[in-house]
Amino acid sequence: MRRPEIIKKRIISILMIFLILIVLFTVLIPFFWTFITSVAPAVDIHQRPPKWIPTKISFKYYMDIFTSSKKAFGVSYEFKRGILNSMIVSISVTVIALFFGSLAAYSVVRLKIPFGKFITLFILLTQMMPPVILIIPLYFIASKVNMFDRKVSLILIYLAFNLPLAIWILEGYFKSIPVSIEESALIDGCSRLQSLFRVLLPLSGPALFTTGIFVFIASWNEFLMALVFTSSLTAKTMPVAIAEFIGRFTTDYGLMATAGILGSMPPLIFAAIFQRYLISGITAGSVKG
Amino acid sequence: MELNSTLEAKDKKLGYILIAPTLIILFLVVIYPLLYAFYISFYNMNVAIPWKGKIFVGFDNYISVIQDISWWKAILRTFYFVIADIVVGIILGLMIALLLNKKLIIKSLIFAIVLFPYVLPPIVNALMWKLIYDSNYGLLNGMLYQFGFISDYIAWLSKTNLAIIMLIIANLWQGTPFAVILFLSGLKSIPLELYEAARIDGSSSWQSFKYITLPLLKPIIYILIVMKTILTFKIFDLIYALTGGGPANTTQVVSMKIYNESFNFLKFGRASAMSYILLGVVTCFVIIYMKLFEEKKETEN
Repeated sequence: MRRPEIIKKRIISILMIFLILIVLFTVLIPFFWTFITSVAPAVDIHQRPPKWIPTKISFKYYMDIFTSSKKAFGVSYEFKRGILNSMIVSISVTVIALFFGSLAAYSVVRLKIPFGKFITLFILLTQMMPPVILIIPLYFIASKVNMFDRKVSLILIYLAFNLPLAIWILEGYFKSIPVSIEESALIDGCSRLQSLFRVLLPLSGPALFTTGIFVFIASWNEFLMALVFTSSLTAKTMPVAIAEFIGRFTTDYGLMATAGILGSMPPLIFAAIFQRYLISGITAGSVKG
Repeated sequence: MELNSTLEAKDKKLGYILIAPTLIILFLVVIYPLLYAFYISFYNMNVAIPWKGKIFVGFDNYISVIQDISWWKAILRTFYFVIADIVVGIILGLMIALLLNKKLIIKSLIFAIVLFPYVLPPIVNALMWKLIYDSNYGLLNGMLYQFGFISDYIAWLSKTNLAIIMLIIANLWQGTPFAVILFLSGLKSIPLELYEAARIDGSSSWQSFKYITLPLLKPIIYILIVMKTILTFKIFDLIYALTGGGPANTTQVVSMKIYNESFNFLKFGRASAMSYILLGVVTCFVIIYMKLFEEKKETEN
């Protein structure tokens, strides 16, 4: 290679690195600013212009939320309960969706149930239909059967939203496992269910994992249904608590920012640790479209 | 033979039992409510005046929605979000994907960071942008003030012509990583030999982008257009939390409109009619896309 070419290549690669840094900066700046707001003294950020680097760092708001109790720290406690409710709802939905989803996927793939097409149709429907369409009928049904403001209602709704996709991912994976592995177990006297739980599922770790992460994040993030179907501390989830924060006129920015950071932790941790599963799930989930 | 068929029948029976929980949940939460909403859309529910009871009104709800200018304005506003998400989101997504499709040292860290907006709860996205746009202290005002671009703080979300642009930017920030991820997986599947061959034939990198990369990424672009349309038509959280549809309804998108129609004005029948019209609009889009893309594929072949 001639010298000018080498120099040209250098310039291009430096330019590339520069552009990548701009992208990363754009992605991260809302997080940075929220974090700074959550740890900086209120005086710093209320100045014009604000002090970009806080004069003092304090995790007071984080402590407030963790140590809040029913009697003290009204808003902090509300948020803490929201996080707890979100945890209970999301974990329940994930576990149940994986269980029912595996059963359904197994029945479609190995037991030749004629519902395969039906499930695909449902994925399309649940993805395409704006969830707002279900709110009114569900609202009337819930008021008839006394299902308002209960975590169970949210769990049921999220299950319905997530089961089709869960089945779809698991189905694809089950198909890729050779039937012969299972056949030998069946010949050895295993029942169908035993072979599902002892042979097939232990081999499906990655698929179960990917599905689980997706279902958890979707349930953790859902807002519209939670907004309509919960009203008190017994069922209100994290997104509803945050929406109330944002809606207040006299807002404590520090506390609000802390809530945002804490509320985004579970999905962000998943994205950081399990990015490979997430990426494969996103690509697999989109190909059907 | 006999044994096999009894076994198969047994399998089928078990199969129905295993899929039953899923079908029951889907029926209770999706199918029955969908039918029920269709039924409600032909009634005036009179929730606010219960002694009147519900009254059958035929197609009146549908007719009044179709004649309502504010409804079509809400559709149009939603469409702005969709267009921005498709045009800017896809171009930006492709550019970022091309940028990241290299041998990088801390690739997994960079990928994780790019994934962050995708997994972030939309309501937290709203919160973060609230902290950026805030009229008393926000980051945007602070920066512009610091560098002397503005002499006084601006209430970004209270200006009728600015608010929707601000929301579109916030929505793009969250929506673009999805395109990046799909494009990256698409780029990975293009065999390197193709570029090698093109280079030997003396084509420039722009030419190999135009004649190799872009045509091979077309299926992904199609998928993205369909998915982005479907996803963005649902937009609600961000708008509910940041502007509530204001100022002066300039950011009222369809979901917001239906939500207000139900829970502020208690017109459940009319809101159900809106929902079905919305479903119709989205379905039309998807069908038109399918037709367009299929024709394109055929002419290309």
